[in-house]
Formats: sequence, structure tokens, C-alpha cells
Amino acid sequence: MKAILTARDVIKFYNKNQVAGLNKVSLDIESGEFIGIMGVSGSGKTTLLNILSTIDRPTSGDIVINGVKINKLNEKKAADFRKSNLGFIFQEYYLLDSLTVKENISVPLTLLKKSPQEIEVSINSLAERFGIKEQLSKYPNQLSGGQKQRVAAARAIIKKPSLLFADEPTGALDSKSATALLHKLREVNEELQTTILMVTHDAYTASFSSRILIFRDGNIIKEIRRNNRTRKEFLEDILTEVTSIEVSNE
Amino acid sequence: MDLLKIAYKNLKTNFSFYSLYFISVAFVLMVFFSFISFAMNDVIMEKISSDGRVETMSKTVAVFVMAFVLFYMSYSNSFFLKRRMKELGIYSLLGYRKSSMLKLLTIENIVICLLSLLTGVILGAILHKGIIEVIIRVLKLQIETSTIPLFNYGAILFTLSFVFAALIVLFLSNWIVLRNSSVLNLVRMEKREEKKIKIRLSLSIAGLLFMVLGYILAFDITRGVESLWKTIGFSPMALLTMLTVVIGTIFFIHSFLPFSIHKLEQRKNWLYKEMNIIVLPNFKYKIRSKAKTLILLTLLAAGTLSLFASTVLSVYYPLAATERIIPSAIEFPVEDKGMASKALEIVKGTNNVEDMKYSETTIIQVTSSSANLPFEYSVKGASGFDLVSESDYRELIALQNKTAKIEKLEDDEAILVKYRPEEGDPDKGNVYNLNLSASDNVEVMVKETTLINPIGFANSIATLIISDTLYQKIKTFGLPEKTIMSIDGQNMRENKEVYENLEPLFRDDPYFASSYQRNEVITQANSSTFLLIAFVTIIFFVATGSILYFHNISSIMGDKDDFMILNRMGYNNKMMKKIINKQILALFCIPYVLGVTHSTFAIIAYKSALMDDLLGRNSAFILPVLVAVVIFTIVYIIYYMVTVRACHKIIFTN
Repeated sequence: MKAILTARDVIKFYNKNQVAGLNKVSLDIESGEFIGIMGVSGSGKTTLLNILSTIDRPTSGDIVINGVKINKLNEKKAADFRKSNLGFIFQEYYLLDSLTVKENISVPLTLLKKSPQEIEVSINSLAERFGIKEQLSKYPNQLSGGQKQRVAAARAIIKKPSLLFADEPTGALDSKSATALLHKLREVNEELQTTILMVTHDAYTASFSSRILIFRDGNIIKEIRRNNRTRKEFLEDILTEVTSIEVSNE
Repeated sequence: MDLLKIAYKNLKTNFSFYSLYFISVAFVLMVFFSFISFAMNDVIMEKISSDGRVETMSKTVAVFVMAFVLFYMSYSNSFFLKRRMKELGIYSLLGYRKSSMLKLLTIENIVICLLSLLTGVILGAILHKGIIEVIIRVLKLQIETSTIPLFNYGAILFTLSFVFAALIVLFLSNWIVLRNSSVLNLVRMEKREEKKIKIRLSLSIAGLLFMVLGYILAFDITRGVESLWKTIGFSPMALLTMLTVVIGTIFFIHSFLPFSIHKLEQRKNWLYKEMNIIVLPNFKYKIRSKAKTLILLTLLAAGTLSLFASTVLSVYYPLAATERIIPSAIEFPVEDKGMASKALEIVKGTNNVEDMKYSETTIIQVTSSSANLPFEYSVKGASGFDLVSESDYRELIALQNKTAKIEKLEDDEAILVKYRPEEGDPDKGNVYNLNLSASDNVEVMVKETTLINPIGFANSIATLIISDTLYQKIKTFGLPEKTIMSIDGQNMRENKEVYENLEPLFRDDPYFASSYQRNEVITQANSSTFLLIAFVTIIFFVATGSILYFHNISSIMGDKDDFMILNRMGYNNKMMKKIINKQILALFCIPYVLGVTHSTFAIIAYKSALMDDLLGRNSAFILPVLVAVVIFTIVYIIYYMVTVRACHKIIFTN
């Protein structure tokens, strides 16, 4: 498997003379992986997501995605890079309220100047996959939270991004919607080979991924791989590890 | 989904949100356009301004108005931009470049501004026509209204260029905002933490003290000659007072108000009530976070109100003072008996005169060698008293339809007619020694003073009313005399024909006085000023009201979650509405109350400094101020109601 993302010695200081948000983090993500990043709040997991996704810049260190050194990109190039390579799902959905569901999902492809036919086909197949076919002509504020997040996921996936970033995607959802969404993400990861990097503080959510990096004080302190275990076994392993970290913290 | 389409959809779905922006910009442009059409209308300008004074003034006003309209537009623009940061963040995440976003914002601005411009020009043209109509009536100008075009092309071009310039300014300010915002703060704009409000006792006290000091300084002017305004000088005192009030306002809003609420909060039995527990802490926080805007609005409101009230006052007061300056409708000195009777014939012969009354009064001019003479004695060319007999006085007063309660005068008593009222009536009880001849003189004591003068100030000042017997006695000494003809009667004061018929007879006679003519001169000289100020006032009122509206809307949008929580905790809709209303009212009250108080003191100072107080009664001053305040109040009440409705809609609809 080839590495789709490599990060080397990434350091992030928010203010001078303060504790580092990221303290020399290095990691590699291979194409088709589903990475979960765990940690308590303030551990640096969201900072990492921001920096890996061009939303924020590192103080030092190098990040390469698909052969592009993204920490060297200027603003314009970074926007173009996001446009063609990255997808996002956030806890807050971030849908455009004045556009219908269908229009929301179509935005990334129109940005890539795809033909209307192609856009229609893609939307329909994704709507089917995410079970939002009935909702296509509605506006975001007519949807439930679970539906909104599935629309956001469809919008993130439609352009077949090299990397999909998900920041606490289930944070605002009830457990049923959360589970449904996670199954969809898993499905997308397996069937479409979409590489996913998901930040969460929740062990159950994390158990849908294939590899978990646990963060503390701006460092990766532990890596857990699912390998061929069932999700249940993986979850138990995660819980044991997280608990032991918490105990050692006291 | 290209950006244009997104912009269009965004405008469409957020129509209600943008509608007030659109309406207020259209309204401001309407007033602006009619103002420019008016100022650029050569036909009118030629008629109402002979010396270029109105042109200069309208140019100055235009600069102010343009600066303010520009400020208002960029203020509302940046307000809307801030509200859309999250949306821009989403665009940014999806991969839109900042240049595309700037394009989006600019297109939206162009659409809104052009629509407002179109609306503003059409309505402004109609308004302008209406104003012209009114001016022609009021000033009785000889202009055929049909010759004035509905659309003044010069004005359209000017307004268009102005809007274009405004668009460039908006473009630049949007560009600066976008340039300074990173993707991170666009996307991750978590609610900024509410900082704990630091309240400094010293600043709160300073705020109150400065404001009270400013008021005291302004009020000091009413002390007259002894006041600091006279001893130090008008300009430095005006500057000092303004500075004190401005500083006071800043600290009063920034520190004193939060401090007072803080004190209220410490009274637990007051704080722990279902409304107060929500409203008080919220109010304290909001005042502080919106202090800059509230200070700006307060000062704007105070300035506008003062300007407007002083303009109303300077038009109204001279008109009111005419009744003293020319107490009878027509007045002239009789130098030639033939001419006097000719004048009477002309008046009688005028068509619409039904009831004419006239009276001839002979004034005896006398000097005095007393030490404590009133200032009126020496203001005219040749110093002296004008003696009028008691019965002449009574007759003239009756002619003018006035009543004066005077007791019959004894031979050693007199009534002094004052030019303006003086505090404590210092002339009362004075004894004046009147020189009748080289060896004869007589003493009279001022029994009382009066402001009801029987003859206009052009013909008689320092008038002394004496008993008939004393008058007859003095008459025998052959002192200089002059006879004044006073004409009055029903509707005589406003009678245009009488004046126009008499005028050729008295061409260039400065002692020929007509109340109609004087009022005409005042109206002619002031109405264009008044109109210009009215333009400015309307624009300012609308803009300050809109700014308050926007602020309340944005803060209530941020509070939506809080109200949901309140609802879950058991506050019903009625209680929540009450909370909303109180919050809005509080924000409206600060600029309103302070603005009205500030301008009241400003008007007191203005009136004492620049107006000759002839009437000696407060009503002449209260009425114009009341007019200004009532208009201001109505505008604010309308804005308050619109704001309350919009806020209820935001909270109670999903």
C-alpha cells in the first residue's frame, strides 16, 4: 500500500513560550485506511486535523499529501488543493442553508466543472447510498440531525477525495443516527476505497476505524490496530487502553 | 452551482434578513437623491438664494450627508459580513478561493445597491417634486412647477457616481476583512468566550461626574453676564462643555451603567426574580460588548437632535418675537399729516380689510441725569426716555388685543417697558430724574416693569409710561416729540395686500414696520436652511434606528440557544417575549434618554447664547424642542416595534 499522507516532526505553537499544541508529531496514512484519532479535549487531536487538512499551518515540520507539500501552499493554492483533494465532515454539519440538499451536494462537482449529466448521476447514486433520496429537494433546516450529517457526508464524498476528514461527525447525533452514519462511513471506506481520518473522543465511534492513534499533550502516545478482530473485540481493546491511560494519568 | 447562483439563492432565502438593509439603504438614497436634486436645481436656487449662501450651505451639508451615508452603508455591510463568516468558512472548506468569495460579496452588494438606487431615485424624485411644491407655496415663489423636471439628470448621475464610489469602498473593506481572516477562524469560529466584565468604580464615577459637570457648564450660561461663558469666552467654553459631555457619555455607558446593574445584582431579593435573573446579567454584558456602538449612537442622536431643535428654534423664535418687535400690524412715524391720512385711506381701501383700527400716539422724548439708568436708555442713537401717557398705553394695548393688568398711576410713578426680561427685575423701585428744562425736573419712581411694549422697537425704546396728568404737565415744556401711527385689526398681522399697497408710499423708510413683511423675511431667510437640516435629520434618525435594529437582531440570533434552554427550564413564551422586549427596550433607551437629555442642555445653552430673549417665557423655547423630541420619539417607537417583531420571529420560529 502506498502512503497517501506523510507528516514529519509537525510542531504547532499557538502562542510563543507556551505549551505546544502539537509536539513533533509524525505519522503515515496509507491509501484506503480508516484512521481514528482519539484523545481527551485539549490533547491536540483537532489541531492535528486542522493542520493536516490545510485549515491551519504548522509552526514547523512537513506534511505531504499525494506528493504535494501542503504546508508550503499559499492561500490560493491551498483552496485549490482542498477543492480537488479533500472532503470534510464536521460535528456542526456546515451545510449551506439557502441551498437545497441536492444543490448542497452538487457544489463540489460544479467547482470541479463537471458536466451536468455526471453531476446528476453522482448525486443520485450517493443519495441512494445514504438514504436521502426523498430529501433531495428539501432545505437543510427541514432535516433531522442524522439526515443533515448524511447530506454532509454525501457532499464530502461526491468528488471522490483522496482524503476525507471527519471531526466528531457523530458529536451532535443520537446513538441510532450515529451508528447509521458510522456504518455508512465504513461502507464508503471499504467499497469506494476512500481514505478517512476521523477525530473523536468516543471509543464506540472510534471502533469503526481500522487503526487508532491516541493523543495526549500533543503527542501520539499509543497506536491500536483492529487487524482481523470483530468490532466488538476492537472496542473492548480500545476501552481497556483508554482506561489504562486514564488510570496512569491520575 | 456557480457562485452567481449561490449568491442569488442566498439573497432569496435571506430576503427578510436583507430587506431592512435594502429598505434602509433605499430610504437613505431616496432622501439623498431628493436632496441632491434640490441642491442641483438652478431655477429654485436662483430664487431662494441671492448671495450664494444656500448654495454654500447645501454643499457643506452634502459633504456631511455623503460621509454619513457612506459610513452607514459600510457599517451595515460589515455587520452583514460578520454574520456570514460561517457561510464563507464553508465555501472556503469546499475549495472556493477568497477571490471568488470577494466576487460573490461584490455581486450581492451591486445587486442590493442598484435595486436600492433605483427605488431611491424613483421615490426621491417624487419626494423632491413634493418638496419643491411646498417651498414654492411657503416662499410664494413665481415658478411654474411644470418647468422643473421630475428627474434631474445631473442629480441621477451624481447619485450614481456616489453609489459607485460607495461600492468601491465596500469592496475594499470586504477585501480587507477577507484578507485578514484565515480559513481557521472562518471555520472554527467557536463562540467567543464571554470575558468577565471588569467594572472600575473610578471610571463609573468619572463618567457620572463628567456628564453632570458638562450639564452644569451648559446650564451656567443662563447666569448671563456672570457666567463662565462670558468671563472665559464662548468658544473655549463650548469646546470644554462638549468635550466634558462626550467623555462623560463614554464612561457613563462603558462603566457607570454596568456598574449600576452590578450594584442592583447585589441586592439579592431584587436579582432572584424570574425576569431579573435573566435580564440583568444579560443587559450588563450587552452594554459592555456593545458600548462602542451605543456611545456612537448616543452622540449621533444627541447631535442630530440638537441640530434639528436649534434649527426649529431659530426659525420659530424670531417669528414668535415679531409680536414684540412690531406689536401692531403696521406702524410708522407721522411726519406728514397728508401722508398719514393717505396711508389710512389705502388700508381702508384694500379689498379684504373689514375691521381696521388705528391710533396715533405722541411720544415725548426726555433725558435724565440719574445714575442708575436702565440699559435701554442708552441703546439708541440719542439717549433718552420715550414718555407715553397711561391712557395712550391702554388704548394701544386694547388695539393690539392684549390685556395688561396695571393699576392707575400716581404722578410720581412710572412703568418701564423692558427690551428683554432681567433676572430679579433690577429696575423696579428706581427713581429717575427727568430733565424738563434747564431749571425744571421731575422725579418718577419705577412702580413696575413690563414686557408688553405698545410701540415697536424700531420707533420707541426705553418707553416710560406715566400718568396722564404728569404727561400733560411735561407736554407744556415743549420737549421734542414724535407721533407714531399704529394700525391693527382683524387678520391685519398676516395681511399681504395691505403691506403691498402701502409699501410704495414708504419706500426705503426704515421706521415703517409691518409684521407681515418681517415674518416673510424670516421665513424666506430660514426655510431653505430648515429644509437642509430636515434632510440631514431624517437621514440620521433612520440610520441610527437601523443600526439599533441590526444590533438587536444579531444579538438575539446569538441568544437563540439560550432561549431554548430557558424554554426547557420552564419559561413560557409570554415570559420569554417579556425578556426579549426588556432587552431591546434597554438598548433603545440608552441612546434615546441620553440623546434627549444632552440635546436639551445643548438647546438651553444655544438659546441663552445666540437668541435674543425678547419673550421672557419658556414656552417659546419648549415648543420647538418638543417638536424635535416628538419626531425623534415617533421614529424610535416605530423602530422599537419593528425590532421587537423581528426578534420574536427569530426566537419563536424554527
